Amino acid sequence: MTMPPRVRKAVLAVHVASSVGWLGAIAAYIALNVPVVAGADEQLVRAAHLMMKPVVWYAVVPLALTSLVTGIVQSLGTPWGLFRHYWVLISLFLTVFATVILLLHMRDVDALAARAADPATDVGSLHGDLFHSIGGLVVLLVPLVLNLYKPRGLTRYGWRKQQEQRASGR
Amino acid sequence: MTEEHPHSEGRPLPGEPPGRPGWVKGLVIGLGVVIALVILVMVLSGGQHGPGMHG
Repeated sequence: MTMPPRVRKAVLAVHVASSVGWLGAIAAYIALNVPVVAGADEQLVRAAHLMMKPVVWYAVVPLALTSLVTGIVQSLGTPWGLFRHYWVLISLFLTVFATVILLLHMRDVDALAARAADPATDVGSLHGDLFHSIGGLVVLLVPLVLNLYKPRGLTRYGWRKQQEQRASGR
Repeated sequence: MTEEHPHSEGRPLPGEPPGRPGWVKGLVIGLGVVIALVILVMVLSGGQHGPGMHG
C-alpha cells in the first residue's frame, strides 16, 4: 500500500528528524564521556556518569525506536519496499541491530549511574561508556550514507516483484 | 527516499535475477571484519566491556 504524498512526506520528516536526532543524542552521550576520559575531578566524573542515564533514556532510546518504526513505515508505504533493495535491507538490519544492542545495554547504563551515585564507589573505577557509544555511532553512519546515496541493487525478491509488476502492466 | 524513484533502476531486465552488487559484498565483508575485531577485543579484555567492568 503506497502512502499519499502528504503522508509520505510527513513520515519522512519524522524519520529524518528522529534519525539525525539519534545521532545527535549519541554525540551528546559521547561528550559526557570526555571529562571521564580526560581525568576530570571527582564531582565532574560522577555528574557525567549520572547524566548519561537520562540522556539515554529520554533521548537516545525514544529517538532510536522512532527512527526504526518510521523507517519501516516509510519503506512499506512507498515503492521502495522493505526487502526489494539492498540499501533498504542493510539499513533495516543495521538499525535493528543498533536498537537491540542499545536496549540490551540499558541495564549497564543504569548500573553505571547507580554506582556513580553511591559515595562509597571509587571514582577511579568509573571509566565511562565510550565503547558502545562510539560503536553505535559508527554503525549508524552506514545507514546514513546508504540513505543518501541509495546505491543500486535489487534483491532477488525485489527483482521478482518488479517482474510481476511489469508482467501485470503496472 | 523521495528524490529518486525506485523504478528508475528498472532498465529492461534480463531473464535472470541480478547478482549481488559489488558494494554489498564489500560492505558485508567490511562489517564482518569489524564485528570480528570487536569480538576479538571483547575476548581479549576478558569478555567484559560494559561500564561495570571496573566495578
